[in-house]
Amino acid sequence: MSPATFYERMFFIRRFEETLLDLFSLGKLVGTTHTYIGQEANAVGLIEHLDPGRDVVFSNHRCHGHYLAFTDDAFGLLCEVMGKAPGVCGGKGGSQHLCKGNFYSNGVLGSIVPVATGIALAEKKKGTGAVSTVFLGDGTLGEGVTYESLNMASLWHLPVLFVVENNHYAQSTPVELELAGSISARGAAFGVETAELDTTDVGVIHEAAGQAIARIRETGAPFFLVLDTYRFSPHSKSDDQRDPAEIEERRTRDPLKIAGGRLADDERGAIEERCEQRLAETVEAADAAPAATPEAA
Amino acid sequence: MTATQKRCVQVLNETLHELFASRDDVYLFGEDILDPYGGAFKVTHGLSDAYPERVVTTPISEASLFGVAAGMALRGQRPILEIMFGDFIALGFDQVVNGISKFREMYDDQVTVPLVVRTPMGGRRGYGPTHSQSLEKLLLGIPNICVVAASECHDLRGLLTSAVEDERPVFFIENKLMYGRVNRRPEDGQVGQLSVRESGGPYPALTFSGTDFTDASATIATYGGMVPVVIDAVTELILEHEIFCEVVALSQLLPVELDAVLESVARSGALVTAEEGTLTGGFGAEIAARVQEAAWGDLRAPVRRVAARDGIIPSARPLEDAMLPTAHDVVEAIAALEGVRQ
Amino acid sequence: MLEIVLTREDANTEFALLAEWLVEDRAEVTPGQPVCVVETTKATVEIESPGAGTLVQLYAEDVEVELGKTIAYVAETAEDLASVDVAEKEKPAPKPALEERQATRKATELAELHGVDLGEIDKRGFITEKDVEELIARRKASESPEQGPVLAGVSTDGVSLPASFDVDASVGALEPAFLESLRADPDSFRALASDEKIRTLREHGAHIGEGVELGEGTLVAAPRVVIEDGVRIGPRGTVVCEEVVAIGELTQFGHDLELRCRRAFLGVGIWAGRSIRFGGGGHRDPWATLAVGDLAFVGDEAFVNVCRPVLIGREVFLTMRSMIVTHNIGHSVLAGFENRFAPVVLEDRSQVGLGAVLYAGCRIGAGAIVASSSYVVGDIPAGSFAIGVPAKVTGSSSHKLSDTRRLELARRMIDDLHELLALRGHEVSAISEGDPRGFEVEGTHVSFTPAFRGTAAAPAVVLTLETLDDAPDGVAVLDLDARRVHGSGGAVLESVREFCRKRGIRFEPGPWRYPGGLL
Repeated sequence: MSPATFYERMFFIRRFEETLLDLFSLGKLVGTTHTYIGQEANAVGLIEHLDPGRDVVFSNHRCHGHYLAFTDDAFGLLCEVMGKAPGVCGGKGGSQHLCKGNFYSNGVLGSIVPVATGIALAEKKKGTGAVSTVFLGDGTLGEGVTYESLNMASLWHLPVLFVVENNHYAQSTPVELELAGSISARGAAFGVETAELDTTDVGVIHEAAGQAIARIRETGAPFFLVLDTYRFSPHSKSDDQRDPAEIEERRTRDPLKIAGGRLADDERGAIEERCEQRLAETVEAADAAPAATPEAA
Repeated sequence: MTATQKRCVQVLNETLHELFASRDDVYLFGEDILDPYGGAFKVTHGLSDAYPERVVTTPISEASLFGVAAGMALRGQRPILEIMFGDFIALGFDQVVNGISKFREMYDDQVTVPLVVRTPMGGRRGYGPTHSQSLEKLLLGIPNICVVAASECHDLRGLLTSAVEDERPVFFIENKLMYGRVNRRPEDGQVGQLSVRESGGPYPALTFSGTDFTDASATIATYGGMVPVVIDAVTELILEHEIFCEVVALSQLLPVELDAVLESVARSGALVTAEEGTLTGGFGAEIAARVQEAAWGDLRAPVRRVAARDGIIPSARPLEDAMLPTAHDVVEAIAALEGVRQ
Repeated sequence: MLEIVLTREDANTEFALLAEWLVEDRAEVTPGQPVCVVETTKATVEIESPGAGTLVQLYAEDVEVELGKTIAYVAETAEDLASVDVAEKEKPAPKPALEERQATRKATELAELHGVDLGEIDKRGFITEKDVEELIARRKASESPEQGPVLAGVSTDGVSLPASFDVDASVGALEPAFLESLRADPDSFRALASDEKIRTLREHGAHIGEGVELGEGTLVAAPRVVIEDGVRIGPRGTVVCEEVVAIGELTQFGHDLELRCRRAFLGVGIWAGRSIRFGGGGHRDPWATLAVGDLAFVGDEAFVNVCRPVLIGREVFLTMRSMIVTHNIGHSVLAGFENRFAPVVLEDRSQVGLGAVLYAGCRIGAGAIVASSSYVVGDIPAGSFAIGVPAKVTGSSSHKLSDTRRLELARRMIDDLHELLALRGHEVSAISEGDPRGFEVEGTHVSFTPAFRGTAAAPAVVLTLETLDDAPDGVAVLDLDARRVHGSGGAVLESVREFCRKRGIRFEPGPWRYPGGLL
């Protein structure tokens, strides 16, 4: 994949979520939303290696980036978040509960890990060669079922890619107050092959994820991939207590800056314009779509 | 026991063998289910030898096993999860409440989760507070799942087959004492001296009458391990006092389906519910509420509930006996109804 | 004695199926020989004999057995086997499981009351009181009307009715006018001396045997009066029946007897005490029939209510202050209270203890014992021992003795009798050993021989267990087993009879008691 494509995908996700925050302020979103702003390189770099017709992704509450990278269905997602009838789940799921094709997400931390493990088992038994990818965060490592799942995935040689996106905060609690010991050692302790990256460079992530997924396809066994990352936006909305200086420091490593820096200004400008236009059309269409209504009883 | 009568554990085991033979999407997960041990209650005996690829013995990880089964089901398989003791379903509640029961509806019908959780409930064996409970009532408040309770009088083969073929998640509640008992199916419309009617549907209700459905003083709605207890109570009332009550032995507890109960209450005019779980917020409470909503005019007396005391199930036999509902409790509840002669 | 126990090896299995016995009950087995096949949820296994001996099965085939139970014994010796047999015999009959019963309690009781066989009711489902009522109604409609209510359908199984029960209807009919005068002015009859009473009764048609005594102030009035030889009714008695009174020979009542019912048939040799009352509420009811079998014993102050048949069998003991009622008394049937009218049957050789109460509808089986102060509301099976309020069977009423033990007990009676006579001040010789074994008293030789072969020097009284030959003149032989007396004798014989009676051995022919003997 070209740097331009990486940039375009990441930029669209970024702008999609910024738009969501704007729409939220205008009262056009229902419920809550958890944005992925700052973490886009993980989704885009990794999911590039997955085949949406075969492989499976199980994501969490912070799933928009994964969803867009896997399905590219901005309209379905926006309608879902806005409570519109054409939403990918008819407005029933909302921001955290998405399903389309081989993509699933659910809103309880940890809860998704055993399900993704079961999915891997099913695909293995069916012999499809699919990889089941599950996105965790540093917060998810506090949930016991994560370890039960690592145990079973290793024990039964299941094609699960455990991706830990360590954004250093579990909602508002810094990782130092919620996690002891080493993250990558957690995977290794179960005999699961492990890799750990400290980068926001989509190219590096793309390469490392490619190796991990190739290992899974080769061995049929699970892989534990730890990605160091940071979200610039609050956990959901207006619940950010972090030191602004820390956020500013991380913004110097904004994955968009790294990826965008590799493009000529005019190329980057064209991509951004294309994305803005697509986004505007998507918002307009979603805004015009009918609201989800209960079926006539 | 005649040659045609089989013990419940045997019927369940044979049904599992049939299901494995006829479908290749059926899987079995559980602790200690491998042969030669064949599961704590031997229901799964012989399956791992016959189907080693589809019988998976698991770590002691109930909380995750519910999720694993859900993942299998989401991907088109028909997993059966054996939870060794019903008490342990509590470990899996997140998966049940936030995943298994929700996926289909919250994903707008794009998926189904056709899994079966088989687990034995019930006390009277001295296993103590955490291995004797009847927790199915905790499931009754979870929309979009099916709770099926087997009893020794039900068509166990039919119930289990329906559960595996169901597109919905099904909790298939077994009973520890039931396993060793004969599967007492109605013969020529009768079990013992009681006439029996079986409702339709995948999980039928059985209605028992001592008067061939001509007359009844009360209806007792029950299920599972309480079915033989209630039948004993009703038989004693008939033989000793000539008080005739109908028993409705439900197998489908959720979604609540009360046609058989309402039909019987229309004849009897009074309802007693009987369950082995604790009283408060139980099966009886739900049934009582619905029956008074639907059939207030048929009732001549308030609905009475027979259930376990709201407490733990002690291990010592006399203490356990005092905790759990008995045939005597059922007899007393009926005797206390307005208009029933003692 | 070795036991075969179904051991519990698995916490989650409580029962196993005893599928098949490979060895017959009471067959000899060798160590390690497979004796049965047991199926658990886990496996099918053959159980082996732990040793050599006789296999005693404790369960049938094809039944569920709780793990931990003994399913069989292997009796290594004859004593082991005998003790098992005794234990088995003493076990109360198992109560049928609820699911095996078809008839309700009310239906069963009503059927018993009317002698209806529940097998006649062909019905799916439960048999109720209503079903039995309908059958009785159908039967009544089809029966000939002349069939009387004498026994009201009560089964006489296990009851030897007295010979007087079948007394010829032409015997003992009183002239109606005389009966009328008796009823109008009983006091005049009561005032007569015994001989005059008997003469008057005979003159007006009653059948009165020889040696009858009707005590001072005693009244006898019934349309038919049949009193056989030797009957004695003490002072101030009242015998008034609506249809018939028939009393067998040698029957005796103490003073203050009250006998009122529709029909009284009393057997031969009944011994009855004082202040006994037969009758009470409903004694004129059509079904008020009293039958007391030969050699029965009725204790002082016994009360027997007779409004439905009361059948008391042969050699029954109804002891002091015991009570029998054939109906209850209470509130309205329409308010759901019990309204019971039912017969009571005491089968032959049954015993009712002091102060026990038998409620309407109960039946005491042959040879059964009801302990003192018990309250009986149902049936007591034959041969059982019942005690309590309500009476429950706790064991058997007797146990079988070995021949050796019986011989030993019989032989010892000579020693006991010898000691008793000596203590009473009679001159007795030392016991001479040998066969027969005995002693002299009042010039008569009293002895015991296991089998009497016709040889003994008169005068003699011989106790024996077997009579093989006739008794010569002057020799009385008391067969303890057959309870018969052969030959005759004087005061010594009567003393020995009385001595045996106190050990429960009563001889025929002859009266109940011999108060005039040496004892």
